[in-house]
Amino acid sequence: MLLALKGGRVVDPAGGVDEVRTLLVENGRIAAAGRIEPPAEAQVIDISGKLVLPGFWDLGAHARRLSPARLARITATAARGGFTAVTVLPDTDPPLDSPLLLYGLRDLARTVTPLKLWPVGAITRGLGGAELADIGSLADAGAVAASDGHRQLTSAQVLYLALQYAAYFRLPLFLYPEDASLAQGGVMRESPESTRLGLRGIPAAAEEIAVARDLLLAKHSGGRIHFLGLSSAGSVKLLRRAKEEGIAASAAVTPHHLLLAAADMPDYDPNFKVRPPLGTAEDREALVAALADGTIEAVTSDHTPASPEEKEVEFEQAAWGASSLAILFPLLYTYLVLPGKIALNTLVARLTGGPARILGRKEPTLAPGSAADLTVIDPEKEEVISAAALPPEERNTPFAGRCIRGLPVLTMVNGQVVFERKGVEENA
Amino acid sequence: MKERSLVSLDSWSREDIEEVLNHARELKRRLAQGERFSFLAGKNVTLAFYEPSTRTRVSFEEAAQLGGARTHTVLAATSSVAKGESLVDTVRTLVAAGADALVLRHPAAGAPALVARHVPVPVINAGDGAHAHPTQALLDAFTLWERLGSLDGLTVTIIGDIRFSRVARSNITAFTRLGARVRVAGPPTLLPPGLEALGAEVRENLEEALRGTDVVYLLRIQKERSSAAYLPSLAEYSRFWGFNEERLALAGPKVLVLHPGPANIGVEVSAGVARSPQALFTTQVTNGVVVRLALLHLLLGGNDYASRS
Repeated sequence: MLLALKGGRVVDPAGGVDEVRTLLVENGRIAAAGRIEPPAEAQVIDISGKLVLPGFWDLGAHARRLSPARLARITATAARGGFTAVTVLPDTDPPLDSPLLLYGLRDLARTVTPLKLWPVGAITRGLGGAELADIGSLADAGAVAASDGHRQLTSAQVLYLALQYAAYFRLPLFLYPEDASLAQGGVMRESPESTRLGLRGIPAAAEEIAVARDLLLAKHSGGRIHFLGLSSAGSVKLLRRAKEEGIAASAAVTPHHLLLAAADMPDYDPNFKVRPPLGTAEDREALVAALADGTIEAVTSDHTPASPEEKEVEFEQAAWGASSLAILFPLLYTYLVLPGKIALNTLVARLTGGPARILGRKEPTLAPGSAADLTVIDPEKEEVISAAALPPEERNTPFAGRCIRGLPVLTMVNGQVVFERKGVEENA
Repeated sequence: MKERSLVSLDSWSREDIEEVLNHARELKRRLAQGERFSFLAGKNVTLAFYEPSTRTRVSFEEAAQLGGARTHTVLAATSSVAKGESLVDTVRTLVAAGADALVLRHPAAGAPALVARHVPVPVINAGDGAHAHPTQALLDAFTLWERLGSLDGLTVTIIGDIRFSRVARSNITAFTRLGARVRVAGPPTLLPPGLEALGAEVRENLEEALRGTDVVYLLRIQKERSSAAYLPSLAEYSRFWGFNEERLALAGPKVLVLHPGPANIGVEVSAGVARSPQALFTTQVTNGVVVRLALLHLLLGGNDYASRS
């Protein structure tokens, strides 16, 4: 079947394109692109006034549980958010530390979703931080990176060896930098707010010490590291200097760290309990600047579903994390692109080319011959984020009540429509 | 009274606090004349204590019963908490069983705020983690206000473990709302960032903090602080921050000394100071009952003083 997406503004950073053009999709690929008239036999979707972007890649979703229902839900939410590829971090129950689990996950993914679902394997067996997992076999089984998730590798020796070993298999290590002793017992950034609320604080030093250590270990091991989320201006400074020095390191930042600070939390709102914890307004500004100038190469969802029962408990016991895949792009479009803090082209690059480079893959593009993985955005349509309208396990968002624009209206993977929001005109 | 619950004093105005103080003074006067009350008659005041406490629990029970209420006390160790029931489910059960007000003591900061979001009855915070202990602050403010007539222009110095103290946080709020200046002093490891934002002046040097102060407020030092590297030892604390006769003299003869209790004699306060006429520790406990009675009346009862015959 031949499909024509007509009249949309194609923003394709990898292809160097930002213009209104028609895309012809056939056999799962972009067959042709440009100011062309769709052939008579084509099914035409008129998307005038909309944006057409390469499908987003997310490198940091937490499934938490490995059930078919959970995977189906996460990928459906990702599609709704304009994502066509999602990685699943290994801090699941059970952890993704054996090749058999990865094969199983791959087969399961095929039955529940047309999206690309890439597993990240464990660095250490059982995420225990002591013995290396079978990293080579995990790579063989499809792991795109190795990580112990939020479990800290407190042993520099283990991380040093893991970096050397994983480099042989060309796998980057995905790390959450956090010094375990400084972070112990903490539930938010140490700040005037943590003092007022009487909550145990985690100083910014907890992250910066780990960033510095991990960068040095990458330098001396020859391995490659990627930070799954930074929260402090000091970390950005360390990363910038390391990159200038040529250390193989990259980083991502989440929508909550780009748009929120610890002081924005309504008293004890568990939906603001994220890891790393939210920092200061200065941290937030530094992260936005680093995203704009490319020091931080990717935006990541840090999507972490949690049921109301896991959140509506004492703050210190509440589950960490926020759900964000569905609203990530509209949030950043509304609060970073529209006010002119970051260019649209840059935001798209941080959701496509940036993640691809981190994985050592070809940057996704909408040039002829490429896979038809794309999303169509309505830049005008406005919506208020309503937690009640979300599935129970995805109501954990700190952005409820915010007005957003730039909602995905159609997402396609290999030419197949995987999500469609009502209201897109369709002409046969 | 605008507020229905008392989770913290953050949202309380000076007028709100003074309403409780005035009412407590009136109730104290009437009690002294032998008057008995029934304004809480028919009410069920349920205490849910998730942390051991003697003085606060007894004080609330006595206050509720002086007003004529029935009280139930649920201790975490004997409740369904051990069976894994969530806090929200437990308090909902207590309300379903008839509680007209919940008095909650909990080791987790924010627990009363969580509970107040989920139950339709007034929630009174009887201490939550390191967050707040508003009724302690009200009774401390009452003790000073009754004695001195006003807190306006007063300087109060709070000494000790500010980091982990809910009493310090609530007292900084209460005292500053009533017009006092609050200084805080203690080991640097126990002075968290942002105390200035709460309205306190941080003094690194204890002797300097004591000069010209009208009131010294001592906080209890927990023994476990020294095992977790916040303090080298209790002896060292006592040497540099303990309040003894020498430091009492430095503060001047008119200074008043408060302590929320129970005091560690020989650690944060010397036996001599604890026994001195300036120490109001016992008055604080006595006042705790009338202040809590006044609060329960304002939150739960009408405005009448209908006496029990």
